[in-house]
Amino acid sequence: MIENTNISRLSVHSLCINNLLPQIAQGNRDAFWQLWLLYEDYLHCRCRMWMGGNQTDAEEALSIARLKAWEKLPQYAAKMTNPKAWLTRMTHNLCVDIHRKHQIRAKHTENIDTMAIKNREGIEVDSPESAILRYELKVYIRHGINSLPATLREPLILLYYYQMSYADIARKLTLSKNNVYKRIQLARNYLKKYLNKYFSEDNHILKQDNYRNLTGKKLSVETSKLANFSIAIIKKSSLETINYQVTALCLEKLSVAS
Amino acid sequence: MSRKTFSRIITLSESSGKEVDINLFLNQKPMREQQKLKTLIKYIEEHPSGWKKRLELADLFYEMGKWQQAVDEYQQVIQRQPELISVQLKLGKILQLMDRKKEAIEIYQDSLSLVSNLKFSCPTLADINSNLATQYHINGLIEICRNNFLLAVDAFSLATKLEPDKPSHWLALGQVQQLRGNNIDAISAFNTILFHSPEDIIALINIYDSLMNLGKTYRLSSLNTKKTDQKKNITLTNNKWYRQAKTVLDQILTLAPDNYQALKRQIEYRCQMKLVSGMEGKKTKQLLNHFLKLLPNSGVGYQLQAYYYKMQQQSSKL
Repeated sequence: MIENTNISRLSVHSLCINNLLPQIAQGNRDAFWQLWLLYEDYLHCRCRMWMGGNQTDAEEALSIARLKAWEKLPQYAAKMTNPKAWLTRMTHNLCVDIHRKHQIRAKHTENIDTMAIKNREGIEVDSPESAILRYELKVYIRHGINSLPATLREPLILLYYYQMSYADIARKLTLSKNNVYKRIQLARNYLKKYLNKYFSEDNHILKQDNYRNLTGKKLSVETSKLANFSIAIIKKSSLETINYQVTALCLEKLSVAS
Repeated sequence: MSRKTFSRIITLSESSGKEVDINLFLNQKPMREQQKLKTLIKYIEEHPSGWKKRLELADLFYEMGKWQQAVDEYQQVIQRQPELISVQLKLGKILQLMDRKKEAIEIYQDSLSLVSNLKFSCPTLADINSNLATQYHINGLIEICRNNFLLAVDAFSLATKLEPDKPSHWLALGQVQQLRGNNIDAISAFNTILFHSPEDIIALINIYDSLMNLGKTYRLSSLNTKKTDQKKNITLTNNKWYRQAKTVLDQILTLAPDNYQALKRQIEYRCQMKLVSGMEGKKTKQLLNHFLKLLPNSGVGYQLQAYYYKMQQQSSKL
């Protein structure tokens, strides 16, 4: 039985390589459909698995794969040695792309802007839940800014909190303008990732913070920190001028008794 | 400043041609200096207009004790980036110790005008106090260069009042008090640093030095005032300042047993206590040999050796 299956597989494989692929390479569309039908069931099964068992998504993926194969296969058929592997890899890549698109769509529908609009709409009748959520987001963003390394945090605060220009920031921090651009970009990327965590509800720190805030133990401290943290950073960078070790420099001599 | 503070003694030629040893304190033990030096020099040759790597090179020269080269590099950094006040102050201090006090004063004055012209977006009271304290501190440094120690004490005192949490002001105040011979006031200033960070090696070493100075003064005054038959009773061990100094030295040795400064003071103390013969003498000699091995060409090493032999000779006469 096993021998028979192997023989049939081998015959399909040799049929493809010897007959169908050269014809597809020459532009014979009937040959393409013959080849496609040989593997369609197999690819459908794979699609269903890769799309998490969702029949609609699997069919969507398979139809895209069909179109893509129709378009690209004639180009590569001449060099191809294993059409099944080629089709499987291409279909897998398409399924991954579909997953990515779904994720991006999910983020776009639940980003900060839409939340802000939602909050603005409900500003007149602000429910306790939305107030907590808004406060939670504020604390989370501040936590994110605080967790940035100082090299990224300082330019970010100068830009957004003090609304200084890039040129002024460069002068103040004795950096080049390009360096400031780069640091702001890195800080933004970091915060973007950080906020993604928040929206994916995988945030343990936030839960801890909220717990403290809701129990009222750290609320006042947090608020005062929020008001002062940016000033503290500026102070540190501009006024740390007197170095302790340099002050300690002195001549070495013996202090022995005569 | 913690127990991890690394210290190094470097030998420097003054403008008069005299060689002096300088205490250098670093955050950590420098590693692979020659390799870093080669890389930085190569980089600067390729990019001569930048200042950041040049600053790194200057710092490296400074740590290696090549101060003339460090001064040249720091001056180039300041030309390119005049707003770096900390670099200016460092350069000023180096020039001051190299006995180029006029140049040091000029650098300090430049940094003073920079600090006084600093503008803040939203200044708080703490910012203003800190800025003023920095100005007073720099004024104090200028007065030291002019040998006006009394004015320097005033300036540093004001700085400590405005910014009491900053150890640099207390250290500068203590050092200038030590220079004036006010060892009790100096100890009080260094103790303030210890109050904030009890393992501060620099403060502990300075306290030890001040206590030793007090012990020396006490001993000399006792020898002058007592009658000849009473002089015999004035021993080194009943000197309370020396006893306190020993306690501090033990503390330093516990915190940083490999520190040059601690080792040097240990040898000095043992010689002073005449532990130069017998088994104790052997131990002192071992410590001295270790010191000379670590710092083979330092003036302090030779001075210590000479002092050891002097004390050995004195004790053999007795």
